[in-house]
Amino acid sequence: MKKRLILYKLVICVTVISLSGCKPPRNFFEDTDDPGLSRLTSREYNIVTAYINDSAYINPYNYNATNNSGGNSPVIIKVIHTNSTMDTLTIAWQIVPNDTANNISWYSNITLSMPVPKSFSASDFLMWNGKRFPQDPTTVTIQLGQYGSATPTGDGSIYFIKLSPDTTYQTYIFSGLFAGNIDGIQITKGRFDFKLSQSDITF
Amino acid sequence: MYKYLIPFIFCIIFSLALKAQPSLTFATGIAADINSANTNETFSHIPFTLIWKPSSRPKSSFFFKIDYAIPVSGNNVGDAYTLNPSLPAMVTLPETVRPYLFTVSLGLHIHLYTSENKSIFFLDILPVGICSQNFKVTYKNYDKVNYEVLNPDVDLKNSGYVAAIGVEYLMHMSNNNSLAIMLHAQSPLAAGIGDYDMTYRYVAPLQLTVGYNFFYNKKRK
Repeated sequence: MKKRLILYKLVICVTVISLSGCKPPRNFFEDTDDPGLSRLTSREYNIVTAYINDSAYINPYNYNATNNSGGNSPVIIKVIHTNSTMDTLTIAWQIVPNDTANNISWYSNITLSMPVPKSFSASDFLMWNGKRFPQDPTTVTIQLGQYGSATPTGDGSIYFIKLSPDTTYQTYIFSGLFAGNIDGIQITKGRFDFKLSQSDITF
Repeated sequence: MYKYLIPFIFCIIFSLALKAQPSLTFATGIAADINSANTNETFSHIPFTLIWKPSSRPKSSFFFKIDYAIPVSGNNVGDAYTLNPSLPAMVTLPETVRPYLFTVSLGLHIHLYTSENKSIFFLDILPVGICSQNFKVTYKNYDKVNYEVLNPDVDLKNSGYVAAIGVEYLMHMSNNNSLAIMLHAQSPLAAGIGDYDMTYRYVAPLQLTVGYNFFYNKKRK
């Protein structure tokens, strides 16, 4: 009886330990040429990194240990309907400094905005696979969300390197480069790699 | 685990060397990768082999083998992208992958046949070996300021257990030493490539080497 009790406790301990090691992966693989930034990938790692005035930023890792859920914060893609002749497509990420020694950040998010026709749909978005912007007549605006301050806006650029279905044909690889300049604030070497579901691009 | 393996190996070797006539073999040749998982790169090497046999018993004996292989091929391509509108959006860069191999093995000669001129065929079984594989990756003509390689391969160094099997032919020479011709096939590392995927996999070399086997510390009859 005593031996069986010890065995049960051992099995429970091993199970708990093994389950606690199965956190959603961070998928941060550092680019040795650009310290603090992730490598440019198209593997659905759900990661975005960039330099803001030469400081590395990354999307935060949100993990709920209670139900073992969470992971890297997602990309938010939506079309904002306006009263003008064009709507606005926005691509936004939360960001935090990629420096464990310094968690203080002026910036909370990055948003890229592009004018799109009123009829813009998911299939139009997927046609941007392999395209760089700005590309006449489509411009790119970049915004930096700042804590307790107005959101500065400037000129940006984005390259949709991979915007195509993955091997499952149920989700999409969303991978590329971005950069921008906002009144002297330089956003450089930005790269993103995300897995998009159908609902993420339902406009 | 390695700290127990190496003293154990030395205990076996020295216990056999007490009443033995040891020999050494130096050999070199060519090696090709036979790991079918390496579909993107074709690796080939120049191996340098040192074999120490603590005993000259003709029928069978343990031996200690050290291999160092210098890579001579392993090419692929990588695509690099840029936001700079004045440059081509995408370029294809030549990629070189060079895996350096260092292996230490403990094996057993199994005598197969002795000819009239005292030349001997052996079956070599090497069930215990530790191999270190060190991959060096470079991209040629890579403008790191403007371009980023997509899904880049990176350097990787890892060690792990390997096993090998092969045949050896010792051609008897007039001075009682031998010309050694050997063919050995080694498994890839029993280890994972890591969480970040590469286009290359661990090397499983098939080595053809030719060398010279000689006895030292010969006993007087």
